[in-house]
Amino acid sequence: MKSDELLVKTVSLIPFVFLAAIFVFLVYQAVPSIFYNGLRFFTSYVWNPGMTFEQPVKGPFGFEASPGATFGVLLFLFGTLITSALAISLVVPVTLLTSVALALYVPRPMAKVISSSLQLFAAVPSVVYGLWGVSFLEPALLKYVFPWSETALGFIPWFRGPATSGSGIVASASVLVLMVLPITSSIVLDTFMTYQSRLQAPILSLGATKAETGFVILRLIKRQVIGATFLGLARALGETMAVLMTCGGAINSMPSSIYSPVNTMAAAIASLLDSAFIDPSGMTLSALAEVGLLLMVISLASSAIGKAMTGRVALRGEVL
Amino acid sequence: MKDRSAGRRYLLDGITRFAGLAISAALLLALLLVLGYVFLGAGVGFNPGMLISTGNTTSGGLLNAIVGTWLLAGLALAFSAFVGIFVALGLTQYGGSRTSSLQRVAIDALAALPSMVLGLFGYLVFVIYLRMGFSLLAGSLTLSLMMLPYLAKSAETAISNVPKEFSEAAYALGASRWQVTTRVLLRFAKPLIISGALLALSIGAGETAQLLYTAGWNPGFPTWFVGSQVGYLTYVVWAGINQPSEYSHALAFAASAVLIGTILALLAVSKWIENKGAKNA
Amino acid sequence: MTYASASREYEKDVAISIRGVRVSTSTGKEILRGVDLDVYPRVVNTVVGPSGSGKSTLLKVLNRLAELEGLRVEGEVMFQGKDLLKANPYWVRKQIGTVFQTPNPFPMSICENVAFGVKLHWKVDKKELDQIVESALREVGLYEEVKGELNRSALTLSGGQKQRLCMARALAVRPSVLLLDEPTSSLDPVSKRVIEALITELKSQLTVVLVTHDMEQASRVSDYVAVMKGGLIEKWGAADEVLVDLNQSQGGVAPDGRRGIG
Repeated sequence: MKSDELLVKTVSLIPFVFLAAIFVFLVYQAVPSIFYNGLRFFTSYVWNPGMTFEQPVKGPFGFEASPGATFGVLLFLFGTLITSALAISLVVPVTLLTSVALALYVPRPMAKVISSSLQLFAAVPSVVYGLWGVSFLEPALLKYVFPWSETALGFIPWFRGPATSGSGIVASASVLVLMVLPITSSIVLDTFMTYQSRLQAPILSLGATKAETGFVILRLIKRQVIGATFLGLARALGETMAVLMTCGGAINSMPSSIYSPVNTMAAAIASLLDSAFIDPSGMTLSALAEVGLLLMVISLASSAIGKAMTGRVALRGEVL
Repeated sequence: MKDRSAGRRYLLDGITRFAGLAISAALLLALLLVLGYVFLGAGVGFNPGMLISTGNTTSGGLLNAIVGTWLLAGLALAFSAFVGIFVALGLTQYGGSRTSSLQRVAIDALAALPSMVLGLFGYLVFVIYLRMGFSLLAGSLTLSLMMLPYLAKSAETAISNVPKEFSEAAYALGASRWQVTTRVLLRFAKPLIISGALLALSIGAGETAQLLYTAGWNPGFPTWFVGSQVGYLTYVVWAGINQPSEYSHALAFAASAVLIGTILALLAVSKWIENKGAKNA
Repeated sequence: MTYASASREYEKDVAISIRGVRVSTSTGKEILRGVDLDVYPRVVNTVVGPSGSGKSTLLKVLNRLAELEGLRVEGEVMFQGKDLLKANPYWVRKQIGTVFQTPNPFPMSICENVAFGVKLHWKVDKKELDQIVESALREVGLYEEVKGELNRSALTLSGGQKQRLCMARALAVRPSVLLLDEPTSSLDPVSKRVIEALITELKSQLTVVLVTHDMEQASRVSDYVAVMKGGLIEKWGAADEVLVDLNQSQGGVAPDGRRGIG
C-alpha cells in the first residue's frame, strides 16, 4: 500500500477507535456496579453512595462499595422518559401544523423568515436555555400557570399540587420543546416541500382545499415524520444542561405530581459525578458509568430508528 | 352518492389556516422571548469591564472564559478537522465500499452519542486514565469527539461537490492520487469545508457537558495543554446563575450574550462563505 | 386579432368567455397582455404557439392555479354564468379539471389515484367507488390493461399509462371542462396517438382545451385553434383554416396536401 493510502486509511480508523473505546471504557467502568447492584439498579429509585468516609466493604461478587451503598436508576430513567415524552408530544403537532402553514398558507417571503428563525432556536446553547428557564420560565410558571392548573385541572390527580417551585417536569419539558423543534421541523418541512412541489398542482386541480392538500401530503410522508420524531427524541433523551438547570435535581424520591422536581440520566451524571470523587470505593463512579451506558444505548436506539426512517442524523440542532 | 358538505370542508380549511398561522406566530414570539430576555438581561447588568478582565463566577470579568472557549473550541476544531477531512477522503477517494458503509455507521453513531456520555468518557479516559487532569487537552479532545461527525460530513459533501472534470483533467496530466487530492480536491473544496468548520465551531462554543469534568475551571488563563485547567463561557452561565449574588447573575447573562453573539456571527460568516463558494463554482 | 373567414357555422353557445386577461409576475413582468378568447363546448379548442407565449399560463388562469404561483391576474372569464376569477376557487377547480405536461400520478395505488378526487367531494361506499374507478379507467382505455392489479402502485406504470391514469383521475370528478397542458410532450409516438384518440372521444362529453406546441398534433385533433404569441392571441378560427394559413406562411405542407408558397 502506498504511503498516502496508508495515512488516509489509518486516520480514517480513528472514529471507530473512539467509538469502540467509548463503549469499552463505559462497560469496563460499569462492571462493578452491574454486579454489585444487579437488577435492583433498574427497579429502585434509591441512590445512596453509602458512608463514603468509612472503609469500603465487599459486596456480592467481591466488588467493593462504601457501607450501605445502593444505587438505582429508576428515578432518572423515569424522569428522562417523562420529560422527553412530554416534550415530543408537543413538538409533533407543532411541527405538523407549522409545516402545513408555512408551505401552504403563509406567503413565501414570510415563510422563509419563519423557517430560518426556527433554525435559530438551534443556535442557542443549552446552558442559555437553562438560564432562561431558571430566571424567566420558572417564576412565570410558578406565578401564573401553576395556580391556574392547580384549580382548573386539579381534579386530575397528577395536577393536584401543591406547586411549590417552578422547577420540575414542566419546566424541563418546556425547554426540551424549544431544543427539539428545529430538528423535527427542518426534516418535516423539507420533506413536505419536496412532495408539495410535485403534488400540489394535481391535488388542488381536483378541487381539494389547502387543508386537504396539507393532510394528504402529511399522510404520504408519515414515515419521515415518525423518523424525525425519533431523531428529536434522541436529542431530548441526551440533553444535559438545560434540563439539569430546570429539573429541580430530585434524588431519592419519585415525582408525585406534575409539579414535582425530577431528574434525568444525563442531568444526574452531570450533578453527581463530583460526589464520585470522594467515594474511595469507586462504586459511585461505576454506578454513574452504568447510568451512562443505559443512556447511550437508549439514545443510540432512538437515533438508529430515526436514521432508518429518514436517512438523516441529528447533531445538536443541526440535521445532517 | 351524497355530497360531502362543502361548508364543512371550508371550515376545516379555515380552522387549519388559523391554527397554523397562530402556531407560526407563537414560535416567532417564543424565539423573541428567549433571545430578547437574554439580551435585555445582559444589557441591564452589563459593564464593559467584564470583557477585558478575568474573573471567576462571582467577581471580575469574562476575559479568561472568552479566551478559554476559543482555545477549547479552536483546538477541538483542529483535531476534528484533521480526522474529519481524512475520513471524508477515505469515503470519497480512497475507499472501498465495504469499509465505507461501516465508516458511515461509526460516524453516525458518534453523532448520536449524548453529550454527557462523551463528557463521562472524556473524564474516565483523558482526565483519569491518561492522567491529563482537568486541562485544555482533555477538554478539547472530548469536544472534538462531538464535532467530528459534523466535519466529516461537511468535508465529504464539499469534496463530492468538486466537479469530476477537475480531477479527471489532473489525472490525465499524470498526477498521483495524493496530488489530485491535495492540489485539486481540497483546494476547491476549501470554501465548503471552512464553512462547515465554522458551523462546527459555533456548536462547540456552546457546549458544556463535555467540558464540565474535563476542562475544569480557571479564574485565569491556562498555562499549558495539560496540568492547568481552563475556564469557558458556558461554565460561567451555569455557575453564575446558580450563585445567589446579583453580580454573578450579571456575569451569567453577559456570558450568554457573548456566546449567542459569537455563535450568530460564526453562522453568518459560515453562510456567507458557503454562498460565495457556490457563486464562484 | 384576425378571424379566418368561416366556411362553417360557429357554435352558438360559448362554454368559457375570456376577456381582457392580463397576467404578470410579482416583479412586474407581463406574461399575458390582454387575452380575448371564446372556448366552445363539445369541440377540441386548441391553443398553439412558441414556448414562452403564455399558453400554459392561460390554462393556469382557467384552473385558478396561477394565483398560487404568485402571479397577478386581471380580467374577466365568464363560465357558467359567473366570473370564475372571482368565484370560489375550489368550486372552479372541481368544474375544470387539468391534465399536466409531465404525468404526475400520486404515489399511491392505481385505484387510490382515481378515487382521490371522488372521495374529496362525495361520500361513497366501497361498491360505488369501485364502479366509478372502473368506469373512469374504461373511459381512458386503461381498464383492460390494469384490471387485475388496481392495487398496484401507480408509479410502476409506463409513461403513456401514467398520463391516461391522470386523465382518468381528472375525469372521475366529472368536470365540465378538461384542460390539457401539452399532455403528450413527454410521451412516445404510440402513446401520443392513443391519447389523441381519447381527446377526440372525450370532446363529445365535455369542453376540451388543449395546449400544444406540436403542430401536427394540433392538425390531427383540433376543431378550433388559437395561435398565441407574446402573451396575445394572434389568430383564431376553425382548425383547418388557421393551420393552413400557418403552414402556408411558413412554407410547410397543409394537412390536405396543398403546398405553401413560402
